[in-house]
Amino acid sequence: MKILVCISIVPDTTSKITKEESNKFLNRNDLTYIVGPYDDYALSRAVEIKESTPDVEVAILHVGLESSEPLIRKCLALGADYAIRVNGEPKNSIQIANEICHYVNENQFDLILMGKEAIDYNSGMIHGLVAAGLNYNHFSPVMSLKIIKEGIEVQIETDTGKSIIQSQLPAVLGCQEPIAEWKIPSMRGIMTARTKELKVFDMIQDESNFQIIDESVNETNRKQIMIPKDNLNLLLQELKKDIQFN
Amino acid sequence: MINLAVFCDFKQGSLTNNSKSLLNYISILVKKNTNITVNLYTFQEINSCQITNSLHIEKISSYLVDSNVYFSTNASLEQLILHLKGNNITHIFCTKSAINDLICSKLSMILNFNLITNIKSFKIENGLMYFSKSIFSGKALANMHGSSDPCIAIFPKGFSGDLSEKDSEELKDINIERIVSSYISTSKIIDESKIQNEVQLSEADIVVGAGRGLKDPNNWVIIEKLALTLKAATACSKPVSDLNWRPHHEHVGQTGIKINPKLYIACGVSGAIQHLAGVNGSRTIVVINNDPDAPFIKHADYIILGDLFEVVPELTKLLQEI
Ligand SMILES: Cc1cc2nc3c(=O)[nH]c(=O)nc-3n(C[C@H](O)[C@H](O)[C@H](O)COP(=O)(O)OP(=O)(O)OC[C@H]3O[C@@H](n4cnc5c(N)ncnc54)[C@H](O)[C@@H]3O)c2cc1C
Ligand SMILES: Nc1ncnc2c1ncn2[C@@H]1O[C@H](COP(=O)(O)O)[C@@H](O)[C@H]1O
Repeated sequence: MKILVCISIVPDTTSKITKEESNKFLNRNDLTYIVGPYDDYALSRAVEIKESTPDVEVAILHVGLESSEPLIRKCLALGADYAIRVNGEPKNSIQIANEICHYVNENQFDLILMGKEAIDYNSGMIHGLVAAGLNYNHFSPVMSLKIIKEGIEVQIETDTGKSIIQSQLPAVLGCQEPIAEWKIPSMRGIMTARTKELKVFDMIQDESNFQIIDESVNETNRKQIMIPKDNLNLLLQELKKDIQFN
Repeated sequence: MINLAVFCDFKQGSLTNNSKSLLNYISILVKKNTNITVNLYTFQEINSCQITNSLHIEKISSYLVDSNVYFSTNASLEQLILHLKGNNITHIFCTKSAINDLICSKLSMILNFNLITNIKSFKIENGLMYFSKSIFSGKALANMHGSSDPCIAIFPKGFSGDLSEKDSEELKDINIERIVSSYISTSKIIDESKIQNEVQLSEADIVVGAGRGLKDPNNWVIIEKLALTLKAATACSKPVSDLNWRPHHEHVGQTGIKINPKLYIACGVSGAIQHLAGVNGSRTIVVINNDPDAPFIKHADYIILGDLFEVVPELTKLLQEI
């Protein structure tokens, strides 16, 4: 079985967001980047499946620039077999999805795992776009994944609760906690990752209409009002201005 | 001409608050822009539907697939797509939900419509739509070019646009048109569990969250009492769900649920940046913590410095008295 794990590389939430002095956009150079935390869960599950099932191959795919390669190596250190980087600047969900579809069309995979959402734009759309582009089965957010004779058994969160679904492969899944134990690379993993293959391809299309015209830092200024613990009535009076209690 | 489809969510037969606020907002848009026509769709089983008069809507199209399958492939959407095309739909608006996310991502690819998520604000000027998106876990905003291209816009839960305007509440019954899909899936739902009786976190107007400061899962009774009094949903920090003190689906934050209630009360939560990423969309934040240096203090509207085991029951008592 061939599993493809798609990873996003996103600013760490601890990064301080500032504006570039000279132009209208946010300053992206000073940010610390990480592998999307949901993508980490997806990869961890793929590695678990590889470790417990014979003949499983795990590949990593990232659409992005060369600066992402150290983080791709980190993913290889977790136990994936090889990685693919589609070279170019990721601009929007549809563009990234088209690049992923193109690669998968040429290199058949049975199971494509992604994170539920990337934490830069929190869209949670790419897995659905890819599933539609390839006409594969699609489930998200997936909280547990088992390989069964017929294909897969997944537990998903719905608007009203949870469902367990059995489905055939191929499929695209958006993953979230607690699908796997979060892994950290072992020393041996880090050593072997150095020699694992990292293939680079060019984007099929780079003319996507990038529509953002400017960006700004969102300053939510909270009121910062201290309420003495022996005068909680004051809190209720304040809150009543905004909220109806019944 | 904008031919708008609005995907509406129902829960236990009635329109969710999230869909209500979006529809209210759309009715204000329609009043200002005579070139918008609105078509309603839903993916839930309903028997009746009431919509405000001012939207000039006669029917809602209900699209269901067989109850033991799921919208898992393109084929599951075939009849819906024909219907949307038949109505010459140019734009689709909805609020974020599991089902809408699933369907919209596929429709975007199949219909070749642009896809815009996490919308913070929106306006129409000279026939062009302008969206502003919330990015980097709410820390920044991105403004988009005005466009008249077909698009699917997914608004966050609780989106109400300009709150100062409220539509007349007059409601009327509208017809339900059922679009039946003959789709046969290769996936089967083998088990379903419904969250019952408790207020659902992502839908709640008020959320009471608690963290490791509670010290023991048995102490959650005081949180549950406060939540019950406020008709609020309960939430927790990640370590709390990792320790199995609370169910995983209650964990909010960077790796959990993002909430945007009117009021979030955080008890014994330190306010780590990853937690804030899930709650900074809340309109008002109250923090109860005994550490004046807890990071959450800087991100709160109201701060009560004190022992939560005293403050929470006292607050509950006061609320019960009103
Ligand atoms: C990649 C990554 C992703 C993460 N994702 C998430 C996420 O999605 N959500 C999330 O919540 N966390 C997340 N975390 C963890 C996060 O960094 C914090 O560790 C976590 O939020 C802390 O949880 P807490 O506030 O419950 O516990 P603590 O940090 O232990 O804080 C407990 C608080 O309770 C207060 N307290 C103790 N006793 C009392 C008392 N008697 N009365 C009043 N106050 C009291 C203390 O002063 C303290 O502020 C993530 C971390 C990483 C690295
Ligand atoms: N640049 C990228 N390259 C490869 N996969 C990506 C990229 N961006 C996002 N993804 C995948 O798509 C998932 C959903 O992303 P999004 O729809 O942007 O929230 C992520 O969790 C990743 O698994």
